Formats: sequence, structure tokens, C-alpha cells
Amino acid sequence: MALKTTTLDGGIGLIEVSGSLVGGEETDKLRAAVAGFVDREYQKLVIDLSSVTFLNSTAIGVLVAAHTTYSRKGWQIKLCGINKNIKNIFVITKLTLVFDVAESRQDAIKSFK
Amino acid sequence: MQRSFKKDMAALTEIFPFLEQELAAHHASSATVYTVSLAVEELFTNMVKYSLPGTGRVVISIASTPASCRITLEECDVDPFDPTGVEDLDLAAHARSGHPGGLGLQLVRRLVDNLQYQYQNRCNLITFSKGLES
Repeated sequence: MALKTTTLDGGIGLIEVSGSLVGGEETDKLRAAVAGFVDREYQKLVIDLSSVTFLNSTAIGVLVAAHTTYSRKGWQIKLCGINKNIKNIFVITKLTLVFDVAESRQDAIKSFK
Repeated sequence: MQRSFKKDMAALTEIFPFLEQELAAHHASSATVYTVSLAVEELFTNMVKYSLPGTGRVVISIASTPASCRITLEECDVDPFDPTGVEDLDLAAHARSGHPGGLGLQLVRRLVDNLQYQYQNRCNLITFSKGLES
């Protein structure tokens, strides 16, 4: 797994994740990246999963925790670029009701209020 | 087809290709391969993390009919653990409550069909099925 963080105009944080997210060091890096943006008070965050090939319940748990942190602060977090198989998992488990999911990174950025 | 794997997280690098190869041989859809891989990963991880070491091996078996595949995970010389007995949660509500833990078995229950459990001769046998075209 690889992870890259950048900042965009409008106070938006961006986390790009690629590869397989199956817990351990990989999910720790994602958790730390989210915490980094929270600490710096980036109130809008996009997590781009377009290059993620596999994620398990541990990774979903990290995404859920990130969503909870942002929601409780009244901040906004969006996921984007989820592939068909991962989207299918989100639909079956009804996690699409929890996450704000955009098709593309540009769609996610545009949708911030 | 069945194969024995070391009861260690590192074995996942062997388990995923094994599943992919066997399911492809049965013309499983990409969605089925993904779903089965995720379910097996969650069940295997649970065995590694929370079960006794036992024999130190987990045997994974795959059988199929024209329409579906049937997967069994078996670990021996361990205490019983029934994944079908886990309380069914509303995942969306569970997630919103801020408690992201405990998702693994909840995912498995929703993703697969006919999840069954047996405990025989100190062995946990977990079996599920999944349509090949799902």
C-alpha cells in the first residue's frame, strides 16, 4: 500500500491511497494521515480510493472512525473513486448510508459546501 | 480442492492467489472472487488473532456446483468459536455510534450465503457458499 497526502485550495486535505488495505501498518498510516489533517484543522477532507484494490473490515473501521471524528466536529469528509467491487461491499453492508461518496476526486471537491 | 496454510497473517499472500486461481477455474465473476476473498480474509484473520494456536494450520477447501461455490475453513485443536452466533448489528447505526470495531464478522454475515458452523473433535469448521455470478 502507498499513501500520499496533499493540500488543495479552499482548505481541503487530500489523502490518496493505493494498493491493498488489510490492517496493520497500512491502516495505521491511514489513521495517522487523517489525524494529521484533524490536528491542522483541515475541515474538509477527501480520501481518494481509486487505486485501492482491496480493503477489509479493519480499513473500513478506520474510514468509519475518520467519518465519526469529522462529523462530530461538524466538518466534512468525502470518499471518492471507489471501485465496483468495494462499492458493492458498501452497498450490501449499507455503509453507503454512512459515507458521503463521490465518483471522482473532482466531484468530491466540487460538492463541498 | 483443498490446501493447508500456516496460521499466520503472512499466509494471506498465499491464500488470495489460491482463491483467485480456484474460483477463476470455476468461472466465478470478479465480484464473487472479491467477496469470497474478503470473507475468507476476515474469518482467517479472526482465527489467527483470537483462536488458540492449535495445530498452527488452517485448511481451506473449495467445492463448486455450476452455480455456486462452497468454502470451508478448518482449524483444529482449538476451543469453539461460532461466528454465526454473533449478534446481528445495524452496521450503519453501529458506524455512526463511533464504534468501528467488530465489523469483520458482521461483514461476513452479510456478504455470504448459508454461513454454517460445526465443532467436531476440537475442530472449528466454518462453511459458506456464494453464487459464482453474484
